[in-house]
Amino acid sequence: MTTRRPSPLAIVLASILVLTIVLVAIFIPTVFTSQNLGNLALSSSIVMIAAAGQTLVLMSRNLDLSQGAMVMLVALSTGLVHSATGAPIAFLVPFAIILGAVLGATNGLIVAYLAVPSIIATLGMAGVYRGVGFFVADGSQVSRNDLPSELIDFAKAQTLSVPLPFVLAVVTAILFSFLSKRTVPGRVLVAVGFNESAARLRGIETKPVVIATFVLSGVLCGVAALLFAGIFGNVNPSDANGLELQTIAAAIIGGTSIAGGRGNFLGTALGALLLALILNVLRVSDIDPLWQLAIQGLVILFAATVALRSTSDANNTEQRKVTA
Amino acid sequence: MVKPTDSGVLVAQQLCKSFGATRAVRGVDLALKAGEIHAALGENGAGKSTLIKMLAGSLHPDEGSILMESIPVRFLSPRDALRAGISTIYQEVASFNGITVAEQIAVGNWPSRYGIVDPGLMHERARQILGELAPHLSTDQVMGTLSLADRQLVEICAAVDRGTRVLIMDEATASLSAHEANRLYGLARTMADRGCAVAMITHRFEEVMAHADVYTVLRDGELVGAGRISDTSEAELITLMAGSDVEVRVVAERTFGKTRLNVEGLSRQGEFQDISLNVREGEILGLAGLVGAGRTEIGETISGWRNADSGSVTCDGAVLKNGSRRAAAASGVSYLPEDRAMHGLVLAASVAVNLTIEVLGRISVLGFIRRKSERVLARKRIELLSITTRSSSQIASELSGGNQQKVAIGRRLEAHPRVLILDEPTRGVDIRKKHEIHEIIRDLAREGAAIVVISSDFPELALLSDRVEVIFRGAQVGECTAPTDPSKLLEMAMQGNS
Amino acid sequence: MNILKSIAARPEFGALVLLPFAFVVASLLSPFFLVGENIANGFVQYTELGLLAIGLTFVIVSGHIDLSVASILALSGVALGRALQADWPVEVAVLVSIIVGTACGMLNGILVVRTKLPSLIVTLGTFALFGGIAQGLIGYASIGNLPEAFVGVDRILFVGVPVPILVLFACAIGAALILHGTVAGRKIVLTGMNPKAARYAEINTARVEYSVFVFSGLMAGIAATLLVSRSGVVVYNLASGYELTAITIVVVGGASIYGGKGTVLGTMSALILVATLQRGMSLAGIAAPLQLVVVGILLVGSIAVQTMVTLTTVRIKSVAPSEGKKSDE
Repeated sequence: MTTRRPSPLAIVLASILVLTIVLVAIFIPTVFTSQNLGNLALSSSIVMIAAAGQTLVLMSRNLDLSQGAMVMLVALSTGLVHSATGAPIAFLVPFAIILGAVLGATNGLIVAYLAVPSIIATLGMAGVYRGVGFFVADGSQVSRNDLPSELIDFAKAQTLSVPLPFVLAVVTAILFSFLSKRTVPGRVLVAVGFNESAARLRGIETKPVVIATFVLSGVLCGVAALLFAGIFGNVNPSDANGLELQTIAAAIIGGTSIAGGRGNFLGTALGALLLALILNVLRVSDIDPLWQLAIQGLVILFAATVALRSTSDANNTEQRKVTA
Repeated sequence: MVKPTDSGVLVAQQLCKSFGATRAVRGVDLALKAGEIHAALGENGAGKSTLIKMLAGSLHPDEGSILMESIPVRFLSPRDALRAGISTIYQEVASFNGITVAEQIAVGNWPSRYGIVDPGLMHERARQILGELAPHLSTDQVMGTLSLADRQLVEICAAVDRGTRVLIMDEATASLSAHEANRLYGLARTMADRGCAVAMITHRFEEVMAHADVYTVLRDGELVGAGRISDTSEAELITLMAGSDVEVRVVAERTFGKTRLNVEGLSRQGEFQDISLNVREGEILGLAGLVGAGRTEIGETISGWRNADSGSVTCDGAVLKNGSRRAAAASGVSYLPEDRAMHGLVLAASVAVNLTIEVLGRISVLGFIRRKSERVLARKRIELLSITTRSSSQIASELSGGNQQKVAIGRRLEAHPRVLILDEPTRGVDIRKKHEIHEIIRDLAREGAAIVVISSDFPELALLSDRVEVIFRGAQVGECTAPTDPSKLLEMAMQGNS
Repeated sequence: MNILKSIAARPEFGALVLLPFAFVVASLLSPFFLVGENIANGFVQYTELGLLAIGLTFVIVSGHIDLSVASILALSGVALGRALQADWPVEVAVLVSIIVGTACGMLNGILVVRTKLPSLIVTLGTFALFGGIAQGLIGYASIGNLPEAFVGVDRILFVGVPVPILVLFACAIGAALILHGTVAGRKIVLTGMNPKAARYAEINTARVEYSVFVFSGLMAGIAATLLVSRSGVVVYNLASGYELTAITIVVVGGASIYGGKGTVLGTMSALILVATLQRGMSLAGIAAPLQLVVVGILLVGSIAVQTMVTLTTVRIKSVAPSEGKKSDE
């Protein structure tokens, strides 16, 4: 592996984060109450985990626009199954993960075998999953009583004053960062994302790779769904709308390239945190809550531009040489 | 003649492949033996590439068989061929631009334990191979920064890393300079000495004579000759390759008008210096040189695609504004780049759209396109240039390379250029279309245009040009007037370098 | 055979073929479908979507995407509402809506061209920005009590057809003329097919890219006036989710999401297709979520079919490296 030099983007991002934190600490100290920080950590953990899945999909040169729908559907289904059958947590966790995997696999199969561009495939499937969600909920919603207490407890649990879901999200980011850089499947993904036809010429079967990224996105959404249920306590079929846009923004800001190949899990996590922090700051401050969305938009545009500039410098331009 | 029963590492027997009505390869035998460099020679369109793709697993033969170490094999995909130990180096290296040399070598073959990659081992292997085969490269260089030649070397290193038995080079030197090409062949020789069977596919007989041990000549999909290089000559190879399609130099009965294009002391730092040349009306000036000599840069600068550091370009007496495409186009100076797929044509659009792309104003009224004008204009051009196409609305990507090149040329002709600079106009074009394009160029000259032809194909320049300027490392080193001897051009272009 | 192949390759083919089936299915679903008044009423609600889809067609054909169209519509609507509230003349208020929409489009265009960010990300940001500004301006309140002269444009009939449908029709004709008949339209298509080659052919791709976003914003501004007039009230989320349906319509209509291919006719056919299906399902009492599922499957299915058709009728050259330089072998 090349020498571990933090990329210019990581430095920029970290600086922005630090700067923001300092400014906020000075001007809006209410952000730094342990309760608020706890809320921040909780709400960002869902996005962070789903964003890891989006990062994988982006690395293979695809997009997953169905993440919000998947999270909603899995959370809803888990709650409904529990309230209908009383199934224990030991069953529900694998259930959520497998359901997520199945939804993700459907996406992956459509993209890989039906040759439907991922932006369209996942857009369409998002509608399908949402529709199924509404259908299954049948007008009602999943509330706290329907959920296994372990989920609620986990969401409330802390270690060293850090909420467990947040720890889980950070561990996920570190894990995938390691897996993508140090394992063979990770290298395969990078190769396929950079140049699919070249990867095929090197003997790599590219279709399974693409499917795998969508399955993992689904699995991570399944995990995020469990967190969602535990944290919010109720699930509506219209929940988690727009989650995928947040995860895409987080990934792009974090340095993952939309053109594939390059993926930065730690950057994505930082990006998700930054977005959550800004949102949180807005909520806690005196800024009219109705302007939050607009500010979010500005942040996305600004941060993405910075991200693009930083990675462009690291991009490689071919040098022409006169060698006759 | 190679007998079908001859042994070899990789043997092809009576391979046939057709695409629709076109029979690209008809009953070809080929035997690649360890320790030998085997040249598959033929003009563009002869079927070499199709043959090689069958050996590399990209295409399935319709008939015939392939034997690997005397065992019949069927390659269902490039992966099978790769697993069997066959590696192919192409003209364009498909690399993963963002990764390092060490990683590129390891793609598809990473050293790992329980799925976890061992970067230390990966680097060590890469370092070892690079040290032997390409010492000027280091494992940490990023692929995107390397030249095409170096990327090809890395591909060969990757092949060695995989333990390849058969190395196939498909027109690999087409974009390389002489120095780089020689280095590539040197590496091929090393591989052969190590026991690999090496095949080189090319249409450059001068390379074959210099580097190969054994040859096979293909023409129109058929095997027309084979044997040892030591037993043959250049002339024989040329005859075998061209068959009866030898193009004869047309003795020009053209009269030249006044000087139309005048270039004085043109320089661009790092690319070319002090270039002075002139072209008269009706004259064809050839710009000879090896790849990388700077001719493309000269052509681009003359036509305003690049800024000159010093010097001037005059067309019909008027000095052209430096670095201005618009000024050059306004004066009638048109440039046809080498890469027609990228720059010359919009492959997804129809022939008519491509032909009219630069003169949309002419086929439209008040901004609205008149389809009839478009069709008429397109048809006229198609007829004039003998472009083989079903109709003017056929999509450009469906045309053969030669016809595509004609469309690219036709597009520039619409602007009635006074000076036309053509960069490698017949690259990748089959021999018949090549002759036709040459005829088109001559016609243009007859009509009074001043033409500059940039080409690395010395026989082509000898056939076409009235005069040839030779460029070496960005400097003018000599001029020849017709009739020109291609070998003399080659000599001047190489300046004794080999 | 060749003629059939070339017809099948046309982008509108899929949507047009499915259209009669959709009508049949819708009529079977509910006998009310074919009642004249129902047809007109039913389709009137899709005119705004149609306008957005027309704008999006230009954007997608040029190789880009605009996720912010619904937010532009919302913001234009809010501006319109505020103007009416301030007792401005109806004509001026309408003009305000159109200007706001166009201005939003201009911002999108400038950002895409200048920042060189993928349009997906830019319009993701402006989706939040424009929608957020709309939200900030109006909050959860609604602007009602709109002037009589303005409300209910859908009830006004001209030659028996509701005015919004005529507006849509006119815009569709205009757009089709521009995209398929003018030099400007051809430049858009060429830019979408191969921006690099287009630049080499002296096409100002930056100007093309800027223009399509402006056009998209303009369409959203016009759509806002119709939507507000029809619903009689302005809220910040009056077009929530429209962008995804609009993109669906454009793509089902045969446009390639990668650019260079797409027709206004295809988009309009797909609009009618989706409207028919949804209307039929609504009349049959099929719940909204299930309709969502159907539309989702329609989207994926139609693209899958299109891709299959393309693969079998057009010889696709594989992307093996040796074909980088085209040779005749």
